[in-house]
Amino acid sequence: MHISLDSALGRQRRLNSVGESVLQIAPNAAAAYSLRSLTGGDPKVVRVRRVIDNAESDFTAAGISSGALVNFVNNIQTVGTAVNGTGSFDNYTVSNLSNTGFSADNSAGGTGSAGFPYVFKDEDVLVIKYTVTNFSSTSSLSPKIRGTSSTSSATEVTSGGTIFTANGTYTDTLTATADGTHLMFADGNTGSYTISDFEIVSHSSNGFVETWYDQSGNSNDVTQATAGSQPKIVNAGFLVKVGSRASFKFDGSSDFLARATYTQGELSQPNTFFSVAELDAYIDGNQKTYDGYQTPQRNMLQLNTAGNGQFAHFGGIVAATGEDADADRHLFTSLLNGASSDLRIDGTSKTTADTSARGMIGIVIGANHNRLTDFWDGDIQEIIIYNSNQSSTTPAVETNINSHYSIF
Amino acid sequence: MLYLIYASKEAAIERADEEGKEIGFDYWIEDNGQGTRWLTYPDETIDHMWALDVTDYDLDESEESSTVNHYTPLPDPEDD
Repeated sequence: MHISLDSALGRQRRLNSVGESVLQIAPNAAAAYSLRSLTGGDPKVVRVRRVIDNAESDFTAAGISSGALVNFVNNIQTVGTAVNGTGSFDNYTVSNLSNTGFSADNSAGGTGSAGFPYVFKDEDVLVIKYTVTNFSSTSSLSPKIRGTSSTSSATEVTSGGTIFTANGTYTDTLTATADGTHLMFADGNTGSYTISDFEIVSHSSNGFVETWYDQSGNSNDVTQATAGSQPKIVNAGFLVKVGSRASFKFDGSSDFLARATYTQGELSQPNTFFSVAELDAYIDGNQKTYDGYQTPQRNMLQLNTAGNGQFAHFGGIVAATGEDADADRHLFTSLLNGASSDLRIDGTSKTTADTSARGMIGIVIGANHNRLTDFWDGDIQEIIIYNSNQSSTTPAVETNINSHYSIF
Repeated sequence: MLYLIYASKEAAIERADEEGKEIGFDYWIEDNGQGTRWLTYPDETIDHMWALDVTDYDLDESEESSTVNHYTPLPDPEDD
């Protein structure tokens, strides 16, 4: 007689229906964080801060896949009316100032500059188009556009930009190396020229996560109100992705999302966690995918210093896999249930060692419970938490998650 | 990195709030208790003071003369 592994483990195999969501397969999650819909609807999933002007907006799962989130982050700002340089850079005589052009005459010599008020941030990439007419060089006139941090400086806070020495229409790509306030044409030679049809073709920027919304219906959103500790979701104009799916990048030095207390209070064991995460680099170190918000109520998934560095989970005692970790993306299934705990990676059980019996009151995603150490250096795409033993639904949930992320 | 050391968490947060307002973070604009509030948040030091990372803050002269470039954080009682 053949006995399957599932029946030997007392599990009932469950066949997923087409289009069935995780929370339809396994309802009653305590908290559920993802950038895809876990409900089957189009829930609000993330609140994003764009660095261009620190504006924030909420997005649904469809708002991510449609490109609305990226468009919000890459919003082109208003170009101001052209201005002359100041201080040591005011030698141009400028006229016809508008927000698309100006005329500059540097017949008197000396370094001059003129350009447009336009705010950009470090790492932003700007594509700029403009037309040069009436170019007349008396002596080697060769202006070049650059980002500056004031009108009294021609010091470049962008890289890129071409010197022009003739009439024509130019398209330049500037990459910011620091925050800036102006896009200025500057030159130390004599002559005159007119800029017209100045426009920002695109402004690629960065976006960061202020809130990762809970899709379970329990309002256990995790947040980060400190800009310097927010994980990144849009990098240089592009959605952060791992394996073609949207992701959060945690910087390994200060980024985390947290919730001090679950709306349900303490989640006592058994607890089941499904997580999709990937390290940027495999090291022998301590990095937390998630942890409790306070000690001793800590349930944790981590890269642990056991051996050469092993994945582990914790409910009061560390239970490590016994094998080297790596920097591949994985689906981690952590059942914390005292002496009956189980840590599965990509559908395979790695350790059933006792993790002890602690519960969990709140959660820190991407750092230690004290929010000061053990920062996750890599990506986290999904964390779903059940205040129950989900052994019976685990294969079906793992199948659903793997179908979406193609992990193993 | 530059830090200002405060005797209380409240004083450190007050300074962080001031900078957050100056920058114009969403929390201070929308007034709905939601959104980004601070540029940096204070951490407790080993001697139970509060260190605020002010590297990117707009500091006045008095503050500039008071910055330190290192502090020792409060150790974690449970090192797992």
